[in-house]
Amino acid sequence: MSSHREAPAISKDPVADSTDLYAFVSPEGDKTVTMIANYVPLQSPDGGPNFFEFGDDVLYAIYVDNDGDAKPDVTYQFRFQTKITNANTFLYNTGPITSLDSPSWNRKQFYSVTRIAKGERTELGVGLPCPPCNVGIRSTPMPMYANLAKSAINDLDGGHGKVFAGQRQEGFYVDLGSIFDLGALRPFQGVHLIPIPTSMAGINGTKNLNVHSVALKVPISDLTWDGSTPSNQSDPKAVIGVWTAAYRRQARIRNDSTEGGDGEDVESGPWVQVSRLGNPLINEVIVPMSKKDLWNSLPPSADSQFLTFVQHPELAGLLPVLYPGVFPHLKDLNKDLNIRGASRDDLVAILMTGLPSGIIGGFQNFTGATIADMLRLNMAIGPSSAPKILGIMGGDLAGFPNGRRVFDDVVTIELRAVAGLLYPLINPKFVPDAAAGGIYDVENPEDKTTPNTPPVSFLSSTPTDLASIKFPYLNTPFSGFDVPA
Amino acid sequence: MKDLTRRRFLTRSSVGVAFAGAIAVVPGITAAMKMPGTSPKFAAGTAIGSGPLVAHVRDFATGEIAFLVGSERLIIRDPDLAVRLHSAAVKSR
Repeated sequence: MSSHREAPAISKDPVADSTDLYAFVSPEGDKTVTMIANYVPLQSPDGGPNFFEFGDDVLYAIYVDNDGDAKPDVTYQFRFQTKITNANTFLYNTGPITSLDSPSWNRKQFYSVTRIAKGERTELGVGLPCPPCNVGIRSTPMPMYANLAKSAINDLDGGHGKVFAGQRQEGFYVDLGSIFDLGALRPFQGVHLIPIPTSMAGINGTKNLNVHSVALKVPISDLTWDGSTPSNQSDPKAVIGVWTAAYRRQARIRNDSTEGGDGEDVESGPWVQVSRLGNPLINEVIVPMSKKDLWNSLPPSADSQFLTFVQHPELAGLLPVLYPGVFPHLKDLNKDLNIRGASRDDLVAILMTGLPSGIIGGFQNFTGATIADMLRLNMAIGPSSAPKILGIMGGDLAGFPNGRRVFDDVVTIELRAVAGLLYPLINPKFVPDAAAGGIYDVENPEDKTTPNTPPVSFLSSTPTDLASIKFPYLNTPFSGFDVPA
Repeated sequence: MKDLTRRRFLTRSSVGVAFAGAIAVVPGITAAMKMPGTSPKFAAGTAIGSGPLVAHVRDFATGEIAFLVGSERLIIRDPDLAVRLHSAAVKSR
């Protein structure tokens, strides 16, 4: 998955597990950038009575680098606090939850937002309410629930934008069941090394699941180092690097009630990073198993030690093996790179430095020579009026890897990139395999019966309603009562 | 730990000692952090915060101890203190 359960240690700590990170120029054209960090993966909507929530003992952060050194220049920190209304019931709610302060809602969660920039800490919001989880038709009936969640969107102090933190519908789509079964893609499983004769459409494994989102919509001028709002895409100030991370206290001593403890664990010491996410699928697919936990513990500025895994991605070697005869040019490229001691500099540019000017007309998101996994967004490129789920690969400069929108098909984009589709950007003599431009996972971008816009599996209605999707841009979470549908 | 000799104990790389009670003020540790390799100089009234304090003896051979208090990690090297912590732990059994 993008980063769901992507490393051994964090897979056992879902509350701190970052799943997806999005950063895009807000579609309203109001000179703002939206950043969404998702946590707590793979939520079955009916997961009561202890429904999903953020961790009070976790520090969540979204970072922005605006000078290319892969170190934070603007930081947003989020801390949560859970309050129990009625200590004498086992229930999440004792009646319909009709408002954010409903006495029937027994387990409310509140949070604070702190902005750190140029050495100054500023509280942008304290005691902000999260909405409840979408329990079901009796507790959180629609459309009341949608309005309840909407009321949990708060303005940040000082004109620093908007914030939302709470449960949302999963926006990432991937055929989980197939991709981790020896790299199979259902539409092409007939040509897999272990073939299944009948090809079929991909199945979105996250289709009916929820997630917890921390979403910010902030002025572009809050993110540039000089407070400007760049309008020229070639302006270096227009490009930011974004990542999210989660932290736990270094020490935790579990309460032992048999020795008269007060029921509370003891925590102390500095915050220690336990999860990190910039570009999708990096720690998932690029970093080897033995180093995934290490990767999660380090900042992007330490990523040069992982560069070799981007230069020589294991998946590029596997594709010709898993799909015999389908990727002959990629197979030759792998061999040639090994002989020459060369590397996949196309992937390094896309994922670790950004694309410099002159590679793709009218676009750059280069942050300099520092090797770092960050989601790089050129904020001078406005939202697309005709978005393509393949982003830049589909001719839409407002999409991944120019930041990442919720509906971008990052699995297909990265599969095609690893397969060599973009290698001609650095070596025009290379001819990609036909399959490199044809493989996909869930949504077929070339299938004209599927509009080449955000897929219906993400949106609740038709793609033509894209303009009606407002902050926080992820849909109302699935109801527990209705799942499994 | 019945078969653990003092020599073996001292060569172990890492032992954590937690002070169960919450303490309001731990004097002198901030100063110690700024002087790695020295013993803490307990300057009376030098507050570093409140809340529980966890001492982690990371290396008995060098006496390296990490104090975790509040949101800070304060490192000192004090072999005598490391031994005294060990002795206190043994005596309390």
